[in-house]
Amino acid sequence: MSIQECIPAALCVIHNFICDHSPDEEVYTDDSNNDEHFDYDNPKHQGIPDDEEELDESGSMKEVRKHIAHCIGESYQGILQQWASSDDSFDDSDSNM
Amino acid sequence: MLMSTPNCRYFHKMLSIFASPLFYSNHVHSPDDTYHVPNKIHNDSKLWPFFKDTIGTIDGSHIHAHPPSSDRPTYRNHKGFILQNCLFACDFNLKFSYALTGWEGSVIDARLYDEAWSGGLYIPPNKYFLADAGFPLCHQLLVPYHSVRYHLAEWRHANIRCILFPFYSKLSNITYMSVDQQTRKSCSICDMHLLEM
Repeated sequence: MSIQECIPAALCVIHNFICDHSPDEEVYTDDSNNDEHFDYDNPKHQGIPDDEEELDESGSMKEVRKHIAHCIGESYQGILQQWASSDDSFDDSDSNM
Repeated sequence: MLMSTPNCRYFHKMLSIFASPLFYSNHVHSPDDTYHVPNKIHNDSKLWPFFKDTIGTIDGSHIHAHPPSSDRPTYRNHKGFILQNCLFACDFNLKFSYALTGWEGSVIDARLYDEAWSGGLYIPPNKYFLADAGFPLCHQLLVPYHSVRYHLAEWRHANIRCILFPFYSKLSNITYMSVDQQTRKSCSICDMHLLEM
């Protein structure tokens, strides 16, 4: 096993080495089917407990997460409003024709 | 038997060089306190400024292994495969910043993270890695809400972890072949496309 343990670490080194010395090389281009890695329907597949396991005793990371979710939500609502207003103006121009 | 052919010997020699602390620490290092937000985050309005303190992602990856028969039960994961569990951290320049390898396949990611955190993984203050629900929520890890399906279709392909997930997937697709097969492939180990095998 000691040899097999080394292989992933060696590949990491080789990968970083190539990135450092051949920055123009495209390391990874296939970004299709990214979502297949998310097991949405079975989020507990990795043996985590029912309750969220937390080491965040002060709760600060929960706040960070909540803040990010809130900001993204607001940004999303802004985008939806933009789309809605652009659709309205598109409909208006259609009806004027 | 392992060293029966010259190719085997060279394979092991190169492997030991690449994995040696000197070579490894020169090319794989944790982010330091001077970490700057990468352009990939800064230039994407769907990510900036929400993830300005994110320094990368971290995840476990199961890689096939052939342990001695006496150790096989502990290397069997929840799907029944005999694997080693490895923990990788990756930054947004698609470079590895940490690797912890050789753990039994039955070990969960949270346990691997504990080991990494107490044994060499450095995360600058007020920065964090993104991780999946298998990791604990703590100062250094931002994990998704449990039992919540992320459903914003417009964000689907901007999901920050999606940037790096295929990367881990490629690494986990490495199959450990017989020693002879490994030897034949040894010449190509210096090529990143080994990860495509």
